Amino acid sequence: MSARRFGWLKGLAFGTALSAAAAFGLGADHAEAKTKDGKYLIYYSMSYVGNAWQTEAKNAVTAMSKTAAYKDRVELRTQAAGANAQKQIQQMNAMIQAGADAILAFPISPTALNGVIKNACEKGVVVVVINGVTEPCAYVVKVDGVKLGAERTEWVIKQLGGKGNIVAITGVPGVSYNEEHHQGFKETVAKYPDIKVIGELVGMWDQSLARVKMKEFLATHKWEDIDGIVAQTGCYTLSLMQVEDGYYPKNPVIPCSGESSNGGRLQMLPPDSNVEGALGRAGLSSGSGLWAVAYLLKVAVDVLDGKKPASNPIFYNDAIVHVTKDNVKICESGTAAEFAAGCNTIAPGIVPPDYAIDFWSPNTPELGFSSALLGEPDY
Amino acid sequence: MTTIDATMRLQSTSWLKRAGRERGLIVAILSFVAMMVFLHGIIQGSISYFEISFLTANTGPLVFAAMGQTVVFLIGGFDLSAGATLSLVNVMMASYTGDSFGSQAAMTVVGLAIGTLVGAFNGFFIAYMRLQPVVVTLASMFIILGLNLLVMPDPGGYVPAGYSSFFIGNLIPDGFPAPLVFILLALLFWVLIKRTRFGTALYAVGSNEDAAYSNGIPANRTKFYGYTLAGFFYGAGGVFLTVQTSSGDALVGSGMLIQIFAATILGGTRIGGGQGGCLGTIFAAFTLTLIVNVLLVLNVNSSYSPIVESIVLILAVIGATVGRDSALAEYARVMRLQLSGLANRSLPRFQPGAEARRSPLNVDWALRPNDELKGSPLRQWVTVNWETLRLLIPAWALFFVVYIVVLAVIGGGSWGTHYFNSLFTLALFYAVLAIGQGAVVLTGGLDLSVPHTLAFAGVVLAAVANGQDGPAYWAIPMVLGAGMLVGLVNGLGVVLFGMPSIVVTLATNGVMQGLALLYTGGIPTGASPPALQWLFNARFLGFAPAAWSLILVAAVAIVVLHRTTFGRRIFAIGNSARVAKLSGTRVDANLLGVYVLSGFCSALGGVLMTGFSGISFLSMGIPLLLPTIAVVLVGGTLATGGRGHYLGMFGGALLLTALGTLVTGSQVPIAVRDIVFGVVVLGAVLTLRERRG
Repeated sequence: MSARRFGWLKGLAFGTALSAAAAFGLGADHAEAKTKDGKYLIYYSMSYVGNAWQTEAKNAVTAMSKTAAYKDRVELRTQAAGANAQKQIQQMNAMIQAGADAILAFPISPTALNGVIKNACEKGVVVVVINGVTEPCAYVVKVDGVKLGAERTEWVIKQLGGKGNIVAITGVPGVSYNEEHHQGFKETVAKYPDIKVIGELVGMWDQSLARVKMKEFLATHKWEDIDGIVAQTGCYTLSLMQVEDGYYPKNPVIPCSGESSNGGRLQMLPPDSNVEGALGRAGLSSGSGLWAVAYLLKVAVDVLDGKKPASNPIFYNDAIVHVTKDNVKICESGTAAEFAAGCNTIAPGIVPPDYAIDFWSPNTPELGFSSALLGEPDY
Repeated sequence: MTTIDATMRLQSTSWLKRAGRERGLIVAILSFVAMMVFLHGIIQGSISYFEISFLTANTGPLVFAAMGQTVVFLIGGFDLSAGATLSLVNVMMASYTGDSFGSQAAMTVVGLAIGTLVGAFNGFFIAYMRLQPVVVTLASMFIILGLNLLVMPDPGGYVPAGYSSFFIGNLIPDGFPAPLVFILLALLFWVLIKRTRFGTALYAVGSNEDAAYSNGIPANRTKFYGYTLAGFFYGAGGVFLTVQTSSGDALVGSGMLIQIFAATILGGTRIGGGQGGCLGTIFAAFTLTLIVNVLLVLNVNSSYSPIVESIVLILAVIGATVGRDSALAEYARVMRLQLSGLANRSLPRFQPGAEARRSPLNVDWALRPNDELKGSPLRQWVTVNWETLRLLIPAWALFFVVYIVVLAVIGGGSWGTHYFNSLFTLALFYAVLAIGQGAVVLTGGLDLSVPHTLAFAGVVLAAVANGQDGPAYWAIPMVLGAGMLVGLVNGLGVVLFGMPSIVVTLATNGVMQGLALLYTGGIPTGASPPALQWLFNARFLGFAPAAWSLILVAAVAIVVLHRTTFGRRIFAIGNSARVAKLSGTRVDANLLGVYVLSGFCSALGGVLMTGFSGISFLSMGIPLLLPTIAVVLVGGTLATGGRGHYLGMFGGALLLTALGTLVTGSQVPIAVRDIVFGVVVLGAVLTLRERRG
């Protein structure tokens, strides 16, 4: 008896809640609320808050919004969506609702956000994303992953003279950039019959996991078996492991091409340079696209100003700074001007060794050392 | 007159009682309404029909998935495979749905069928093979993740727009959103099921399986169909995910898992079974989705969002559970009794020396002669210890099998110290974490706060030590203390507030993530003390000190868990907290001790991981959580507590590490590695299953 009555009560509660929701909905007209002081209101929907790269990227785009060119024109607000695409969809919609002029995003999925992006475009909100989504109305700033993967692989193979055993460290399986990069790797390797891939390690773009996986790999192999490494992330750690295991200095460090970690670049300095961690290692350090997140803001403001980019997607491979032991150079103070003059590495001890150092690029000449670390521009 | 009065009073009290029992639901509805009112108040007039329609479409996948999880919770289960299953349906549909009506209808059915099949798979092993839900769904999660990558390695595929808009368009243009129709249909479906005998059985089995069985309810069949029904809901969630995103992505479902749990818990369904339902879950799903809007409107710094979300979860659970029959109220009652006892001197007085102090190391090495045993001494020993041995054998046997496969497939230097040094060094992390996690599991709980407690200890240690040994002498005890403090908070949540361990530890995990973020500003600095790195880089007789210390870890673990009164009480509590309490065990104090131990082990894991890596990372604990749980369960530990042996977990640690060396060292395709992991875990526990009776 009472149970049934309660069931009825539940129904009532449900109905009340629903109609309350509907009542709020009815009679409400969607008013656009641009910022009153005439600035562009721009939101950045980042992904996961708990890793250094994401933090650096957030800092870099914040610093960009504070540079002279933008500080009076842009108000930037950042929200995080974690690893949950559904949450990012809701978040981006809330940004539209809050009257955003533009939304910048690190998309958790290249496909799942299409609906909300389309909705944003229909309401006149400019959407600029890094890495890519398949919805054509968004402006996409991305690296050609296949090309980058091929380039890095080609470099290692050249070091080996076209012959030897290679290990690949991949990123997160199932993510487009990872698959592209790995495709570039495999296509290049296929061109050289004397190159043998002896291991594909799932590194998840994580230096600490790259170490775990390499340790697992080394249980059944030796450093002597490996002639070259192509790593989406991990060159720094894997080179350090060779020192710890005593492989270096008996042998030169195994050539590795991959991420733009500061520690990895320091390792390229000659051992007699008196810099801590210098190994004189052969390596190619070519960018994680950190600066490109700050570049999103420039693209967004340009579009809002009526200047559309020449192409969409905007591939940035040409703006990547390539660092090898021939051009590695430590900065004195780390200002943007100094980076422009050709330095590309920060002295040891100031930033952690896994710190992505590619915040400066010809496309973001405003950004110096303090941008990614503190979210502040030089001036 | 009086009889009517009495009936009325009876009715009104049962009403109140009923309302008390449904408090979880009431909290869920109230928080949803509060959320809506707040949002409406703060951004005036901006909740339009479009927003409602968008909200329902976007929350749809979470609603259906959490309804499935609710069914699982109701029968006392726990399903880690929910998120992955959504993705499996998603990638299948995005790959194979065509433009014709026939194809779309067929693929909808296929999507629902895939979910249902996964549910039946889980249900079969849990109900009929009598395996534990955590380990079965952990295994099926990994298997499905691998399948997802095989079906769709790169996000893509599509479903036609017309098909999507059937589900997420409008039933009445600008009047009623179609997703709400489907949510209401699902709710109706659930309400109808609840009214059937099967629905009653679901609640009965969840409340008390033995009582249900004694009353003629087929417990196994109910559980099997329960998981199958949950799978059907996941299928619906997958279909909805597909139409909402119009495309496929192998990873998109996994990201939802934590939120699926949160929605179920927030909706007032009790972990452990028997109480709750899908209505609360639906409201909770909407509330969780709206938190995003609230954070954005308030412009909350993104570093705080993990903390804010954890606190919301905790508050809701406290709101739904703390009351007259809660643990806290019980404490207050006992305290009052004690106080009044003190006042009128009616408390029993303890005689000094009445209870002999015993050494905490309550060791009794002497063999008791047993005349009933026959055969050789070895045989007698085996007979005596068979129950324990039976738990250890699968993990160790499989470890040797994997090692032989390593030798056969990869060969090379895999037989020497070189291989075993790597194996032992990597196994150290599992071995350490398994002590804490194992102790918690032995009491019937689960500690999900390991990843970020571990990372917090690591980043603080690295920052403070900054590559020097000097500060490490106080920094290491400090971070270990911090870990114990986290454990204490977990323990207090479990003991004082009577919250399920999963909820408390999930929340503290979020808080620790937030604290680590705030402490580091998002970019961890510093480096490990050299002494810690020495553990991994030096060599004695071919092995690193870390590998040698595995012996010490195992010895300490065996003494703590199996040779002390504390350890014995852990088993007693796991078997039955009630019986343990009535037998004079201070259950609460021991539970606190167990969680403190686990917090300590997490922090120690962070210290060791920092030494291993040289530097520390905010995410370094995440890859360790699920494998450690697998290690504990594969090692013969019963997930409901009371059964297990550390030597089994130790074997589990070696098994999973060896498996890692096998898949990483050989050329197994990446997607297949997850499948291998899942199959091995499932295979290992299959041999451990309990027989009825």
